[in-house]
Amino acid sequence: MMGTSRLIVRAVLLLLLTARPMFAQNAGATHLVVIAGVSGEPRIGTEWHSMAMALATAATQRFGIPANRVVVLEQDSTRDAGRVQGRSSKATIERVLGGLSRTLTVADRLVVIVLAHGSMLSGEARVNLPGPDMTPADFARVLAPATAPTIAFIQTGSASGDFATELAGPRRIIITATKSAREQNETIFPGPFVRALTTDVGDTDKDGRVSLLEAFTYAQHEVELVFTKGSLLPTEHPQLADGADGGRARTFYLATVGALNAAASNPATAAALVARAEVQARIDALRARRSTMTEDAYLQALEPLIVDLAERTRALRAPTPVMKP
Amino acid sequence: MTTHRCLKALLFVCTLLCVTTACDAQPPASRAAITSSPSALYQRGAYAEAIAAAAPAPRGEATTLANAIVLARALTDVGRPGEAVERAGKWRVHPQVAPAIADALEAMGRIEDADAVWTTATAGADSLRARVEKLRLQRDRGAVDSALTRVDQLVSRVMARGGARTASAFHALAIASRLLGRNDPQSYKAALRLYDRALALEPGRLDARVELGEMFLEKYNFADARSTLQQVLAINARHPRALAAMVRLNAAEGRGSARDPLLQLLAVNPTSADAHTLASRRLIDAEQYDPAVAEARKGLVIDSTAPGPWVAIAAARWLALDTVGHRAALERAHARLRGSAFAEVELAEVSARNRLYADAVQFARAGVFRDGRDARALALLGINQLRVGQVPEGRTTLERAFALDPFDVRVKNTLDLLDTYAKARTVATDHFDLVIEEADADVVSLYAAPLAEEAYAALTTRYGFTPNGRVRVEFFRSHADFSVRAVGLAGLGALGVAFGNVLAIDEPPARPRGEFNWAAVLWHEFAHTITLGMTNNRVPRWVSEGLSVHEERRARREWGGGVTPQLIAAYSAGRLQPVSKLNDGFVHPRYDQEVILSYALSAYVFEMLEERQGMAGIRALLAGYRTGWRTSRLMQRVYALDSTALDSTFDGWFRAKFAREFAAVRGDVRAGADGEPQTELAGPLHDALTMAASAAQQKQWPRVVQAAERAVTLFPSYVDAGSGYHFLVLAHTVTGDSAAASAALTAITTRNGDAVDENVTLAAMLDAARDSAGAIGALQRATLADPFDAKGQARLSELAFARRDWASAIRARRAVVALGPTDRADALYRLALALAAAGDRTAARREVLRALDLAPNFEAAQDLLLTLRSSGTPP
Repeated sequence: MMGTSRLIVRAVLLLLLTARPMFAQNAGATHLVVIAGVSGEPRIGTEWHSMAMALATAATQRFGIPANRVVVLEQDSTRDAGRVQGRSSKATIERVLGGLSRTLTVADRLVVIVLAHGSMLSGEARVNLPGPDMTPADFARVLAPATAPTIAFIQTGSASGDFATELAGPRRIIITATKSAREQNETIFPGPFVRALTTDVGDTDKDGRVSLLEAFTYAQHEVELVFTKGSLLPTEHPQLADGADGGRARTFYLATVGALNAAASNPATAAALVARAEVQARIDALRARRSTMTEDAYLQALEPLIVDLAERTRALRAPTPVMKP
Repeated sequence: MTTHRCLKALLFVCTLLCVTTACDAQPPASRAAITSSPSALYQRGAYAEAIAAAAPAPRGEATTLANAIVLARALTDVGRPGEAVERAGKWRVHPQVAPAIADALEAMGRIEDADAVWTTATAGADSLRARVEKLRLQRDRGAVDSALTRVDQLVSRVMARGGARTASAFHALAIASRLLGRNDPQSYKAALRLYDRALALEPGRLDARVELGEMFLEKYNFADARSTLQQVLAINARHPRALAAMVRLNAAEGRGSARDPLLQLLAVNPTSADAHTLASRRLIDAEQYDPAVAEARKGLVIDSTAPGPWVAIAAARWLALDTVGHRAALERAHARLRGSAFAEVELAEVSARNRLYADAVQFARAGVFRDGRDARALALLGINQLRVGQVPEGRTTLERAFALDPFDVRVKNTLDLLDTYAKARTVATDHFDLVIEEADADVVSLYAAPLAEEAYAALTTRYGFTPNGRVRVEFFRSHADFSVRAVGLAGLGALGVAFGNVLAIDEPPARPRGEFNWAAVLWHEFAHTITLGMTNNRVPRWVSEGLSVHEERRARREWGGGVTPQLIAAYSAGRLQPVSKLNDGFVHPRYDQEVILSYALSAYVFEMLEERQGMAGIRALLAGYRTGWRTSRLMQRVYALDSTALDSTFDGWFRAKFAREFAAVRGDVRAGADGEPQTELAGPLHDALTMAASAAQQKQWPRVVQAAERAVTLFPSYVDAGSGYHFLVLAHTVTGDSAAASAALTAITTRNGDAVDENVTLAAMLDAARDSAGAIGALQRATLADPFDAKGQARLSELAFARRDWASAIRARRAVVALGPTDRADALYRLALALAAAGDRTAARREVLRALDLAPNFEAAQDLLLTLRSSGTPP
């Protein structure tokens, strides 16, 4: 188990390292909507329900999202009474997303995660729901009023590729399990993606939290492994589109930081954190020049910066002296 | 080489059609007479009956036009062309009979006479075919360009007049198109369409169908070649050209059959130059060079100038190091092959088949010199240049070949492979260049580099021979790519191939897990490098393979396969060649499994020989092959064993060594569903395993154990799937006796290097039983066979690290990093920990920095870096 002081230090460091976007994104509210479609078979229905519940639990317990901002819609709304708020019908989805779209402000964030089979009918991609299906255009229409908030829309199912083009826009992060609507096999993507978001396995940069980019990269890698190991022709190619080559997804975390802001209120700690952030900035600058250097030269230049960073981290980790009256 | 014979039955078929039409108009009672008519008898291969019916005694002459054609054709097909000319001679002036006479004359080597008779045929209904045939003869006499120009003009004229309308005309145009393929490869496609048109109009035109099959064979389309030839043989099982083509096809595919088409062909036509040439080639492959020459000479009885037998003689003389005899035979062949690369192409193929790749390059180059537009010569040159390591030159040559013939799938496949393989990475060790596909290079080289050097050290010492130059090993993730590299075609059953100092092998992902052990294959193939190098590539295949398997078995107990029930059954049933003829088991297998069983058997021959005179004897044997000596003479000289004594000595040794196994297994030979003989396992082992299987089905585990233990006692080294050990594993696992299950798994995994999953299961059992040393051993075997097993590598690294086995831990952690884990930073950190623990602080610092480059805030890695810099003890 990680010590509490270490956790706080890491979290506060994160605040500083990614200062602007994180403070910006956390000034408002984060809403999570999980939609599980028609599974077709009990095994998949059970898997999706487990994933939906894991996401809902992580939202409140790991990410600090208030329970009233987490909505789970499934094909069977009676399955886990109290935790599944409604049936994942087109009407309900339009009502929930439409309502949020009209009320969210620029500081708010909306995360929509779809666990559903997709298909293509008459040249149009669809999400298979109880009752009428929804097309990317349907989702685009219902989300159209939400021009201000940042929206992350993740369609983890088959034939999901067309969502990227249909829902793209400023302040949008679209993740799909496939590159087009033609990839219609059951997808592997949702399992590792949800696992990455809800556990530590996706935290590849060891900063204590998982960004959307990290979760996507983790899931993408796991999907590739399945096909490579089995020497199989890949039937899904996960895509991420955020208009910034992953830059927006890199700094998009589901976790809120409200509880951690207080840690930086100590002036001494805050100063140390700022100094440390400067070291991190120098590391970033060095990384930007990496392609012009040999690996040996790069590592040689990197080492003193990392050592500086490590020593500052170690100092921050040391127990804070208790002020006695 | 085969197109020129394609017209011989056309006129006959026209006649046959007339007869068939007449037949249709007759009442049913007459049909029996028609089906036993001379032409019908000929069509279905009843040659003797056809001859008798066409020219009834006592005069023995044909009295009708149709009978004259049948007589001439049938006599030529059974190897009596002189008689054909004589007995049908009075009809030769008739344009319809002339083609049959011309073919008979050509079979006798009387080319000018044949040409003259074809001139007669130009006045008949099939003048188009006759004119094409005359031009073909002109080409064969060396006037290649002018002949093909005239063929082109002829075809243009025919097309200008509306093209072909009859089957005969389509057939003639198909032959012309094949001739034109030399200058315009698209003409081969035209030929295919024209054959199809001809056969659609007249399905019974067997010679056209045979030619089509031959064209498929020439283009390495074996599946279509086989189905096309089988269609012919279904109508006429004795069709000489179809049988000859089937012999070639079987040789190309490495197929054996108890119903050898060559024997059938010789039974039909005992003097066939084609048949004796093919028989001679087999003897060459069996290193019986003098008998090969004698066999080829039998093919010269009718036509002493026939090029096929002379080329075979030239090949046999070459392999026997008789350069004078080789040159003389080649000159005789060239006398009939003016301006043609045919002889050199054949010699290059024979050389390559006998692993003389440098010679193959030399012959193919000579072929290109004789005919710069011969795509086959260029293809052979390019493919063999690649085999001897001249990769850029080979590519250039293959591109030339492809430009001339884009339908040669070997060339296209190889060029495609070179395109994709261009991104491979070369990892250099002291003696090897390991060429590995980029994505796999880190993982494969981690194991291949030390293993290759270990093999080098071991085998160069044992054999007292050092390869001349570096050894190039190419690894292929796709078995199809490996197969293309080896033979230009997909579908090769082998796992590795050695061309000398160039080796190609499958990577672990190329085959389903548990099917093979790439490390054993690498060792095996490098042993070939030694034996090929020591003999200047003149080692018989059975010797080279036997020594390679012998070396596998010596290197690791679980490699090389041991004695199996299948081997004992086949041996006891007499279905394996004696040692003195063991090469036939490789080069002319009589059934599918014979090759693989011959591998296993030949290795025991060398185990016996090493027991008798150690490595000195084997070295002397190999030195003898280098000088051109043959096995029989060498065995006599080195081991004082003539062929009979060698066979009986080995038989006694083998039966004594495996007396227990021979008592446990019997091989019953029965006809399989396809009519081919098959060896079925019988005897006490079979009974015990049957009992174990039955008890397992009924879940009577004590009975399973009892029967399985008996099977193990009867045949302790049998560890393949379905062995007694496997039943023991099942029964003990079900009953919860993990110690006994582990013991059975240990017995399997220490004898079977392919048993990856069994090793993984064993490791888990031993791990659970806190036997980490045993678990490490099992995981080391598993990860050697399949280094791509990320979970196995991760667990091995943990166990080895905990036991302070730093070398194993480092290798496993390097493998984890190389396998591209999602959490790369963590993998690098763990590698750094192992390196630091092993005392390699420099490498540890480098790896932890790499981890921190990915995750600068990775606190554990930061701590390790600070510790390494402060010379403290790593965590």
